[in-house]
Amino acid sequence: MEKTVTPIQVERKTLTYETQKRWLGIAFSLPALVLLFTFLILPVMLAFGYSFMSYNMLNPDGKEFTGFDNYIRLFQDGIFLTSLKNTLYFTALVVPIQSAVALGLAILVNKKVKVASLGRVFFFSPVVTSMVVVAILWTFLYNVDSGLINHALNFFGIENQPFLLSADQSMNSIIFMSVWQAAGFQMMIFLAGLKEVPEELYEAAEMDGASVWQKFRNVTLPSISHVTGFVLIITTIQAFRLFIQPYVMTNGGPSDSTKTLVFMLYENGFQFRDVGYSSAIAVVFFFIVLISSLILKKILKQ
Amino acid sequence: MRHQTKKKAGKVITTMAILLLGFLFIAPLLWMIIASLKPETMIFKDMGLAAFLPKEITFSNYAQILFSDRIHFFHYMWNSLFSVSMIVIFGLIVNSLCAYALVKLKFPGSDLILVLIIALYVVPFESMLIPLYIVVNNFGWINEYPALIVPFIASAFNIFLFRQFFMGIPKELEEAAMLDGATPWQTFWRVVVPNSKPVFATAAILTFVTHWSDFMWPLIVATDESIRTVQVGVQYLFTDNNIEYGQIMAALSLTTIPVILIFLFFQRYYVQGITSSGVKG
Amino acid sequence: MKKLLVLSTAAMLSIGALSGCGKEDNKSAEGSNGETKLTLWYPEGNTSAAYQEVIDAFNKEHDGEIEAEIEFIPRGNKYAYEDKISAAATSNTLPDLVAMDGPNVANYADAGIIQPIDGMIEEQDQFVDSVIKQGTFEDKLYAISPMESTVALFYNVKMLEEAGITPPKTLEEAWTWDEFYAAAKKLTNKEKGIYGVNWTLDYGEWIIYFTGPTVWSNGGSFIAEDGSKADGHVNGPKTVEALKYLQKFTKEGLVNLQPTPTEFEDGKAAMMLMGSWEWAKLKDYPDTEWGITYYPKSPNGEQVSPSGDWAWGVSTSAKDKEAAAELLNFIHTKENVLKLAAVEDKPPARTDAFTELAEWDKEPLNVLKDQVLETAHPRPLTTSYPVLSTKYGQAVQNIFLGGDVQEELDKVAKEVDTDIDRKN
Repeated sequence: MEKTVTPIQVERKTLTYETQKRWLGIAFSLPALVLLFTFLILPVMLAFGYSFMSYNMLNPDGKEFTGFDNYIRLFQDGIFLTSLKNTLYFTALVVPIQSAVALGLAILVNKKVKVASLGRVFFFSPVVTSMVVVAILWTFLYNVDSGLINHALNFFGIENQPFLLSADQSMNSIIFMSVWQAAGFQMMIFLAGLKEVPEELYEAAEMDGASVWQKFRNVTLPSISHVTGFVLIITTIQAFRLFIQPYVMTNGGPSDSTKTLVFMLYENGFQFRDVGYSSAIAVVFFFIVLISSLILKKILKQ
Repeated sequence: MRHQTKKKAGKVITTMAILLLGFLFIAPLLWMIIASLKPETMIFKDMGLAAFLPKEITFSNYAQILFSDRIHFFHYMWNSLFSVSMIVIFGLIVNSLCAYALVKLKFPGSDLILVLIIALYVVPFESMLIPLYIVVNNFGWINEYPALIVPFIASAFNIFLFRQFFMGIPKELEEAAMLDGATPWQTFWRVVVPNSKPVFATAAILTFVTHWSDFMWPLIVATDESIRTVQVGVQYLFTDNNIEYGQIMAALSLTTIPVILIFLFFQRYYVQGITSSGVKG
Repeated sequence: MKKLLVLSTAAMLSIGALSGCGKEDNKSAEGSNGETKLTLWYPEGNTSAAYQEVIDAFNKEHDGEIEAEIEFIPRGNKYAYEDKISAAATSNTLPDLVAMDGPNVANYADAGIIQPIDGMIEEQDQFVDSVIKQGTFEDKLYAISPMESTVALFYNVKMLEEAGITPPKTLEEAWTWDEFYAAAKKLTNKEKGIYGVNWTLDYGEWIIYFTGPTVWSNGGSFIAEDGSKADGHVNGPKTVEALKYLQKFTKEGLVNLQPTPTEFEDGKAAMMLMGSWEWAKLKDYPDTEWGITYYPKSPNGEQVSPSGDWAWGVSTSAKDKEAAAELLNFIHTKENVLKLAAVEDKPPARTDAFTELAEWDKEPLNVLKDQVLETAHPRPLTTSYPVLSTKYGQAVQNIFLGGDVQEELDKVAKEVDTDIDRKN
């Protein structure tokens, strides 16, 4: 790092601003790129290699090259299709709902009221609450006989719902809970974006007699579009990676209705110690998400 | 006058909405703290609304965790604080510099690198666990601090986040600095950073939260008593059998405190960004 | 810029220094006067303190020759401990002695991460059959454990008295399926929200462990004796019959599918199928009188009970096998077995240890003793155990929610057989 910087300082006077920029650009990004290469790209490349091997985690010396066997097996595996379907369903619903909720919360706590900072802590708190506690509580809330949610439904004359115990409702129940849990995360990103919107714009709109909705539509949304795009892409990727909620709350059931791709990847890699197969799932997963993100990016651009 | 009352009404409605919605969000955290103050046999006795109203309060769950001779809670806490703070501090520097370079100091290949970084964010950590372990093991870092810190300093998520916000910084601000004879480094330090406080705060909070709750990785690379993190440390409570829920709730409450404090600390950087201060400057 | 460089260089150096001193510590601990160093991994838990004492005593006895160091690995709420072993195995960083849950023995032995300990164990005939069976793979002994476990039927004495139900007192009189079902039905009171039986539906190893005896007692099995095939076993008629029987309880609402962790203790369930360790927990509830009776048996067979606890094996990376054997035997002396078992009131795995425990001859602990000595059955020994246990657990989950028994178990058979084929 020092080597690349020293000549710049010595030759500062002779370098143009543009050349300086270029060299500094490399110097600035180098630490991150070296670290990313070592701890992200290298492992990813290893995993890519493993996906063409039969590799029992407990017996690393016994691994051998098996070509496309893992991939062929994957496309014949019924659970893969189920997991893919579940993951896509979760993503398609969670991304718009969660982003909208997060934006709503961010706008709320961006208002100049005394409880705004308290509200930030409240809305963010599910993100920091241990998954153990969250799982215990939501299992109670969703309890078929005595859950608070069913009590509330009874109040409106709706009969008890099975929620997590039914293959039809379990994924929706997890979606609802996930939105509640993770919206605070996106809220913080939106909040940082809202802070960039110049106050003057709102004042000008108010002068023109704009309604609350008009202000949102014509000032807020256009001003934070780069943040919205970011949140949508990040949320999509995070949604594809759904794992921990079904892992602790439903174990992928009932009848595989909450089994996701990452769940399948973890189960095969760690529980069944089949590193090769697990890596093949990871590679396929990677391309599915990448393509989805690119499509999303295209849509956002329009 | 009417405008005034309308504004006041709006404020009241906003306040009510925040408090009501807020309760729905904070309830589990509240329940956890209340449960940690109950005697073990009372915790699950009533799971209705009465779960929030303890009949009897005891601090014995906390005493058992803090003054146990088997676990060293404060030591675990320190390990977590140290390693996560290192990730946050170095992460902020390394990732913001990288993002700045990629957006503003374009050099050959920078666009391609950016695409690659975003693609890397897609990789689920679960699939990298074993290969990453092999890499870290080759460095000889098992049961040593660098294993907890170094692999997580550079983060595709944070680079992407910074990049997105740096893009929004008006060109005029930088051009003005350039005309004043500032070097690109000075421009970054004096113009970009002060105008990006909210995004630095967001990155710090989100990084802290993410790594504070890490469990799987620290468990695999750092089980030695001397560098055990708090998330791994509290797992001793989840034994095969006879789980003491009161102590679990107490331990989890204690581990949540630092995150809330960090959150409150960084909140003050959520000031109005760019233009207002930019215009003034 | 300079400031930043200095700062980051300093930081990098400090990280390096930290790692450096960590290494030095390790080296200095590695015995300066040529003593053998042994490392052990054991899941963190209530027995940790007692284990530490045993290891300290061993080090004192072998001062200057062998030094053992035990590391307690948090278990997590599922398979974190096993994941840690996997990661260590894949990078050859396993300790010398490693504790494992009984059914993993075959898997570990087959992968070659633990080595046979045949002929190394002193007084091997003192250990209960189930422990030896569980630790044996391809006719060789690979693992041994100081303690055992079992599942029995715990009950609320007052509730059973009020319903006029007398639970059996001897092994011969153990309830048959029909008697158990009738009792559960009678004890269930939907208005009061009281369930006849409580059983945990946790997603780890528990399902196969606690339902196993129902299957075995009925003459069913999970996999062929030689581990070559699951089809016709895990989905065989006897196994299907056993699970249909258990399904009756959930279908008719005699069991709560989403119980609180303390449903039984709080008086919301009259009976509970639970591990022997539960007795220690019930001591927290002295106001209620608790009893234990035998695991119910099939009308078609003998009474059977589950077994298995953490077992010790010697990893293949252990260099000094003699020292490892010395330590293994030290952990399993009668005195140490008694000491370790006492912590959580676990049944010891040595018959001669039982003779010292007068309390286990009396009610209600005699029930647990009878089961451990007379009817304990190890879980299946197969290299595909992880797949079997996980898929079977998921299938039973579906069965309890009303799924078709035959269909669900057919799926398990298919998955397990695919795994067996792939490994051969």
